[in-house]
Amino acid sequence: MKQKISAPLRRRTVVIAVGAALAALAATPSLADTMLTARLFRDSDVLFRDADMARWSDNYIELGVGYNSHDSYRFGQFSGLTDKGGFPLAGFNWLSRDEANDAQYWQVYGSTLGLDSRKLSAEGGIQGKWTASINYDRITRSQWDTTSFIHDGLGSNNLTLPSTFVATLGADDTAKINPRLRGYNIEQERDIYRVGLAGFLGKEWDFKVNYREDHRDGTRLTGLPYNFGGGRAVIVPYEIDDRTRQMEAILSYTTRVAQLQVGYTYSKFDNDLNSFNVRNPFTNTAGQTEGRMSLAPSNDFHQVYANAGYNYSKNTRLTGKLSYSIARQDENFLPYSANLATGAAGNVPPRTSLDGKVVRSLLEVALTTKPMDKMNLKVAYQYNDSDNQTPVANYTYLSRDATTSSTTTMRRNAPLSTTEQKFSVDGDYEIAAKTILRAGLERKNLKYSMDDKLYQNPADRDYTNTDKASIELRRPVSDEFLGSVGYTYTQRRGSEYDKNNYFENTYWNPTFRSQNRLTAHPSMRALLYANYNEDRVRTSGNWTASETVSLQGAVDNYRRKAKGPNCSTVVDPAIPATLSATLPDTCLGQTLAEGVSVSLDVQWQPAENLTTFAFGNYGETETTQKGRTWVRGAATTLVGNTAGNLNNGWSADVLNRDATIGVGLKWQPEERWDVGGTYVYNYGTGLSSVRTGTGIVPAETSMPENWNRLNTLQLFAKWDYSKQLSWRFNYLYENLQSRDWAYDNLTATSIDQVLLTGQNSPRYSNHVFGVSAVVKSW
Amino acid sequence: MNQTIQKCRAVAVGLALLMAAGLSGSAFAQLGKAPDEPQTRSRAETGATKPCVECHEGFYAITKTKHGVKGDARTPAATGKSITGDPADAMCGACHGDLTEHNKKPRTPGLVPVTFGKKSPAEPQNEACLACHEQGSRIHWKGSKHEQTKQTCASCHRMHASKDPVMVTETQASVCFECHQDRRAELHRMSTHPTKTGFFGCSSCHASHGSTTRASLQKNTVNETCYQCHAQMRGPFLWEHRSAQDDCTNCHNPHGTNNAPMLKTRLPYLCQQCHQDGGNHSSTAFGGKTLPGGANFAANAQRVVGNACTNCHMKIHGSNHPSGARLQR
Repeated sequence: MKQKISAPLRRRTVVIAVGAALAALAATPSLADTMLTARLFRDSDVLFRDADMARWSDNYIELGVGYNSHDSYRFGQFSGLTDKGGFPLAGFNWLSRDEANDAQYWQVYGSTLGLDSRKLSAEGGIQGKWTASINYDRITRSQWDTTSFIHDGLGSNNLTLPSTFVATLGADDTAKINPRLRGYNIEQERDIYRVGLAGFLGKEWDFKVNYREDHRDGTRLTGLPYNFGGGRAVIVPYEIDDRTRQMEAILSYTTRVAQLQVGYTYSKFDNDLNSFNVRNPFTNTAGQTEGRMSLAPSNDFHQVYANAGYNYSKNTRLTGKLSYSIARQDENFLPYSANLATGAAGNVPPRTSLDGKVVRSLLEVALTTKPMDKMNLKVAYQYNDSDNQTPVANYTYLSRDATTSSTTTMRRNAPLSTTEQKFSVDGDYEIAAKTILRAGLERKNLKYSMDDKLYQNPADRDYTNTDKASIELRRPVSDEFLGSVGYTYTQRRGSEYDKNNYFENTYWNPTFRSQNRLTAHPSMRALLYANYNEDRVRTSGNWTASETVSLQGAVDNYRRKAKGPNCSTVVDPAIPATLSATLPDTCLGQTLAEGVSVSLDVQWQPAENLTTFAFGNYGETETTQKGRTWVRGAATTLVGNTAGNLNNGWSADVLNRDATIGVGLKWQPEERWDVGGTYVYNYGTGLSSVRTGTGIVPAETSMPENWNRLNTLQLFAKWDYSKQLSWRFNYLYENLQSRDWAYDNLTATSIDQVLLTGQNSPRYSNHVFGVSAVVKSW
Repeated sequence: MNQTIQKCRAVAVGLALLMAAGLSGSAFAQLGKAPDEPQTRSRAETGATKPCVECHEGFYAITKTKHGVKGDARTPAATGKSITGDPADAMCGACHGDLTEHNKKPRTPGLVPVTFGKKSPAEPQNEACLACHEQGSRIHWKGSKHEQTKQTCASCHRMHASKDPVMVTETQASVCFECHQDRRAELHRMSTHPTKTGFFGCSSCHASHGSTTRASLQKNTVNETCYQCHAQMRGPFLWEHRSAQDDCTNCHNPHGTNNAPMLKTRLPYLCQQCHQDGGNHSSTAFGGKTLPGGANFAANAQRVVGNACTNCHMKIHGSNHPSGARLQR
């Protein structure tokens, strides 16, 4: 029944094998002075920003043309290279620096100017006196080009349909919905403007002022449910039109002994749109046709802070940070329902706006010292308080733009405040030449507090304590090999769960509560607060096998087990009499999380003019969670959770794996030529294995495997025609194939409850060619 | 009340420390001043045999960097002492120490007081840099993760290069990946930040020189760091989603995953790790039979396909709608 995906034994075997291999390497004969690999073969869009650092250091102007073989949003997701056809290649860098005299300098830089995603910057000043800068970035996000919708007004915050339109999913697909479907692409643009000014106020004081403004524009997908027309939902694009302004001013005082930095940060988010209306396609009955969603509210944030460091002696340093911030949000509330007249009885919230406010205070002090020649020690304390001062009120719950409500569904907001205190001690000692043993201890106490404990969820706790202990050994086994192995143990425990509250946090109605009608399962141990024990082992090694060959490897493995009994064997007690007996232990929710990552980098320089490089990584994460299908009874009964109904239990193991390998080379066949290439292959899978008890009929099965396969080949050549002129030739081939059960084999009308978009999991195959001339070094 | 006292105490201790640091700083300010000595001495005076450039031509790119600007009184080029008579050599000694003996006996190892590289001890290297650079983002360097693991400034920075790769957003990640190889692999997953296209560097979130936050983040908390670009999630909201308010990484892995949008686990399973409520559907077992052709498709597909739970509960980061308690509005 269950697919064989859980493989702790196999994983541990891999970990032990690689760890042993690294240890074995230790037995053979320092580190490469530099691991040139990644630097030479940037694991990114070499086509447009290749590994040649000269592009950022030399003065140059680059002009050229490129050609993209196919339309694909996914391929050009962040680069903007979404359309088939030609495109210009353009960029420049011009730095002028007067090294000898008055230290004046200026620099202008532009990159990928021929594409939708581009960068421009300028900076100048007198080094050591003042500097000013201005930057512009445009980042595009092309998400989906396979989506279809039936509404008019796509791209706006008001999607409409003809006034007589009404359709029932399933029944009216062919006649009413399918003919209206039309493609609309989902994309966003973010324009980022930055200006900065910095200067020196004498020898010891300096200041910096930075301003950044982000404009976001475009559409994203969202679901939107309706109360009328059968309780259905639609997935549609909502409009984004907002800006975030951020300003930071810093005044610094610096001497060899003491450093002080005082700063102020201001951030303001302004959304030009406060709501999004979508005509209900499932009914045209007057008073039931509208659906409305609130959009992200405008808000602001102020923070003052101070960072300080003080060198008490050569070996002892005291550092600290003090920060105080206020986050506020006071956007006017929408009416309860779009289907009731604004201001009508029952459609007016108790407040016109939230007046939400969260005040955060942070203090950290840390002492680092060297009590003896071979020992380093750090002791730190942190206090981090988040005081949520948002006013509390009772709000009518009108489900999904319904027009009538019941007092039993009245809701009360439940702002949560937290106070965290953390104390840690870390130290290392050189137990033998260059052999370092490091150990650390940390305790974190996190307290939760609410306006009224009555509104706690049974999964909530008053506090948690998280303790961590770590030990690491770093040892150069020889001049050529440095290895390290470390182990960290973490455990979280906390206060008892409140066995008298079975409600979602916000349920208000006293009658409803007095009936002990459950809304939340009392055995749920939410990931956020649950007890757990975690073991983590990390091994790494760097080996310079010879002057031309170097390797670097690492293995990271963790296992986090939620503490508690297994739901399949423990009978939940009757509700509520003996509930407390099992409450501290995880029963439902995540019970186990495991992961491993194995990496190996190799660099080989077979000749002075040829460098080769390879890397590989295998990563795996798996979570196991327990569930129990149950329904709330009229009073104290937990239907489906009695001793006789434990067969309603289920579990899900979600396994994500991916393997990445890459190879590359850079060759300088003669002085005027640089050629090279990289190839990267990534294969990822996701498997959700589901098992159900005999009480669940029909029994559920595992999900089909989702997978994605990416092949990327990049080739480049640079020919220096003369000292002032180079030619660049670039080629990129990228192929992505993927399967995802959330989208594949589903049309817009495949399911009765939600009008989908018909989008497909991404796949593309693109070739891109580029040739450009680079005029440089004038 | 106890909490108020605790806060006052914490603030008082912090202010006292800051004042102490500030006052003491003034007293010791003179320590940082260089003595007034001639910047260039002749070879006859020092016994040096030849200019540094004769053996180290490749490293002279440093003269084109900020460190090489003599017009700035703080730089090695302005404060260093040349022992060879060649003014260009002044800056070498500012970081590497007194090179007189090395110049006399260039082939004898161990005569360069401070060398930079992975074979050399970390502390002298870092002390040489921190002598001028302990301010700003380096205030918390001592005791930081990178310092504790004996990383040096030269582990990431190329001081002699006219442009340092780690200081350029487009190339920064490649430097970090030299040690954080698993992060490089994550970059190739289906859902990532725009790091591959050079618009998003590691330092967009991380303070590699140390900070007060776990994982050396730029801001005080994970969420504060994320809100720099995602301020629409900041709230405060009328209806909070507790795990989102607590820590974005409860659900997201910002380095990349195969579950868009960078979710640690697929929906609906991720939601069901905290939500299995009665009277509705979140305690239901969802599996292969909820997909097309399956026996549970008609009843439960809307909770599994498309946006799964967020087909309806789309305000997953918090809602400000007065009827948005279930994050549906």
